[in-house]
Amino acid sequence: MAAGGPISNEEIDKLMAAHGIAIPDQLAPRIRDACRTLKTLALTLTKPRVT
Amino acid sequence: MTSLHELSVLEAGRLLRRKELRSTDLARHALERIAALNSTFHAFVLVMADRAMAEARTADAELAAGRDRGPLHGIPYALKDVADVAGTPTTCGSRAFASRVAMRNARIVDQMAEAGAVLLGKLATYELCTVGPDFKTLHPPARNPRNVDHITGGSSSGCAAAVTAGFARITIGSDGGGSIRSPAAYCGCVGLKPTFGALPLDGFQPLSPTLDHAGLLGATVADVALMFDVLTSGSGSASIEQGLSGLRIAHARSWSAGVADEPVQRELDKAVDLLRQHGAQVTEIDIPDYADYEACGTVIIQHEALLTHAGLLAGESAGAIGAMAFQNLVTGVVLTEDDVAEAHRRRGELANAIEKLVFSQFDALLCASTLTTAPRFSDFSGGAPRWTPMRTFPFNVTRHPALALPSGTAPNGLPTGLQIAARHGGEAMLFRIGHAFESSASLRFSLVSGAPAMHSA
Repeated sequence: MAAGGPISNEEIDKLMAAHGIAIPDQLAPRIRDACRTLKTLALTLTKPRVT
Repeated sequence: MTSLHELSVLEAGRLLRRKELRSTDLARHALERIAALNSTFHAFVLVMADRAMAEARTADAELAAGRDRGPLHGIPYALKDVADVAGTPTTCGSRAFASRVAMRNARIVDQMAEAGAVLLGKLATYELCTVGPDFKTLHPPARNPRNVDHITGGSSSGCAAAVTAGFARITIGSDGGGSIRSPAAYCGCVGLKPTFGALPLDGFQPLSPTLDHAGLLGATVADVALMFDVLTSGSGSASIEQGLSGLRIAHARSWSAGVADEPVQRELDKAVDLLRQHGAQVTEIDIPDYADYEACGTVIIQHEALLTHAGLLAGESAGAIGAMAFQNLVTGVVLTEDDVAEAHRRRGELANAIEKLVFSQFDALLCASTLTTAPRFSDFSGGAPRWTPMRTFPFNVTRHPALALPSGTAPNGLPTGLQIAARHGGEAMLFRIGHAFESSASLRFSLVSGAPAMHSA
């Protein structure tokens, strides 16, 4: 992933392939968007916070 | 005159023991109602009529012979189609599992059989316990009996629909992030996600093993409490009449105020007033943002869901998974070991925060269950999976027990809901508060015959 930037389509496709998952073309845009949303959410967990 | 499907579990049990009613009467009535209405509500995906009548005859014969197995003896129930029943398919609502026949019963099915309960059949679920509604999966999505243009929520969608439609007074579901409590809220019945591990998950299709809970949906708090007691050898149902005097209840109003639909927040605020009138001390508290719990829970559930179904997603049957579930399951590939480790570390912090801020000082925590009434099916016409706004995830993350129950009715005629959480092992406290609220709010659970049917007296 490029430093500070969202995860790219190519990186997502590479990860899918590494898991043996074939993405149907018609679902690819939606899945990539969902992947980027999840990754962004994961990164929010590392931000400092007060509880 | 009370119809048979309107009898509480306790009432039905009393009549059975007085020989004024037979289990076969209850089962036959339920099966006739299912035959007449299931094509409208799609709650059941498998009706086990012959088996149910045979079990009911056995229950009647045992009672006649003086063998009483307890409060569920002769009572019909139904089960989300993610739990195994020997000799029948456990499809999880997926074409990928359409022909997968269970070799043995889930442990909870054996427990219910031992208790003398009568299994009517298996209930609809969002595919693989993920997201929905999806019209292109193995079964049509369950429809909300309060208004069939609206969803039930999920994934225990058939459970809530079956209870609300009067098919089964009690049902068994599962909940990894709100899958029992959001359907309960949307359909206007009671949903219990107990303490993690309180009910056995052996024989259930997993999604996220550290977040999944087996749980119960029923018509009233008393029905659910009685069933929970039977399954856990507990006694919480005996103390539900104790009232609220002296109880200290924290209110996580910040989780819903300003973001919940106005009717949901209004009914929640009215609930606070009512709990105070009945002797509880309700205190609004500062608590970590809901978003923290949701982020933590989402990372864990997506990671574990991918691991659970890795073989399926990479195998020849992947194409049999519906688009919504498939899209949901594969996203976890972007998570690294560090992401997941951080989520688990944060999970510990958030659980400790609830313990310190809430349960060290209060008997229970009150908050919203869902932030809206049940959305319309048409809201999902784009086919993309999306989370409906809920406040259920924190208690999967922290593993505290949580009870969802109706709080009132919105102007659109659909039920609004609230949620109560308690200390680990504190289900009896949930039943006590829930029953007191249910009774004092005069929220009379009524079953659907066609029109929306949540009445506020």
